Amino acid sequence: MENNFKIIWLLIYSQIFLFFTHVVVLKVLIRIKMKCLPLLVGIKCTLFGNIPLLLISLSLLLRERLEAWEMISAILYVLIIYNVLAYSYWHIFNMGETARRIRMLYELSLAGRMKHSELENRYGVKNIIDVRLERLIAMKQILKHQKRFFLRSPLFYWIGVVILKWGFFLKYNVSLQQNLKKKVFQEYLQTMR
Amino acid sequence: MITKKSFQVYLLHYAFSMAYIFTYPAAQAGCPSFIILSIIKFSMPRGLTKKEICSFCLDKKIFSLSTAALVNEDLVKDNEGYLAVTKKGHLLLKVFIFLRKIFGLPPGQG
Repeated sequence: MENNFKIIWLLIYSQIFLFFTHVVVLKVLIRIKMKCLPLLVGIKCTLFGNIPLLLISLSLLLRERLEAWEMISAILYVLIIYNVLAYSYWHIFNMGETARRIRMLYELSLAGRMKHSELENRYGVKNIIDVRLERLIAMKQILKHQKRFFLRSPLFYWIGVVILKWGFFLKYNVSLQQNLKKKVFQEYLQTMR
Repeated sequence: MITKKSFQVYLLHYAFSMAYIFTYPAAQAGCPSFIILSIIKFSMPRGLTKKEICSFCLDKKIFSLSTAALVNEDLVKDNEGYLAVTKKGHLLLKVFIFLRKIFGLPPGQG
C-alpha cells in the first residue's frame, strides 16, 4: 500500500483511537473519583493525540523522497484534518452533555408526558444558567468571587462573538443580538438598582 | 478513477463540512454559554451575581425552551397541550444515553 493511502487510513484510525483514549481516561478518572469536565478531558486527549500522530506520519513520510515543502504541506494536512475531525467529535460528545433539546427529551421520556409549564419548572432558565456557570468556571473562562462572576479568559467570549455575528449575518437571532447590546444590558442593570 | 489525491481532497472536504454542520446550530439558535459570557463581559469590572444574570435572561427572554423545534422535527408530539416523546425522539435519546454509558457517565445536564 502506498504511504499516501496509509496516511489517509492513519487519519481515520486516529479518530477511533481518540474515542477509545477518551473512554479509558474518563473511566479511570471517574474510578479514582477525580473531579473532571468530560469535554475538557476529550480536548486534552485530542491535543495529546497530535504527538503520536505526528511521529507516525513522519515515519511514513520519511520513507518517501519528498521535497521539504511537500513534507511540510503533508504534515500540515495530517494535523489539520486530525484536529478538524476531532472538533466534530467534541460536538457529538458535547451534544449528549450540554444540548438543551436532548435534556428536554430526557425529562419528557422520564415523565411520560407533561405540559410545557411543567417542563419549564423542571428545566428552566435558572437550570440552564446554573449548569453553564459551573461549566465555565471548570473551564477557567469565568471566576466566582464573593458571589459575583467575572470574566477570566476572553477566549470563549471571542469565539462566541464570532459565532453570534455569523448567526446575525445569516439573519438569525436578530432580537437576541439587539438584547445583547452593551447599552441594553447597562440600562437594564440601572433599572435594577 | 479514484486516486490518492481525490481521497485526500474528499477527506479535507468531509472534515471541514462536518465542522461547519456542527457549528451551525450555535449560530442559528445562539449558544447559552456564549450569551452568558457576553453578559458577564459587559458587566466588567463590576461582575455579576447569578440573580442578575438570571433576571436579565428572563426579562429579555433570551433562553427559550425550543419545544416548537422538537415538535417540528417530529421528536416530540404536542397532544392538546401535553408534550410526549415520539419513537424518533426515543431513538435519538437512546443513542446519546448509550454513548454516555460507554463513557460511564449519567445523562447530560443540558
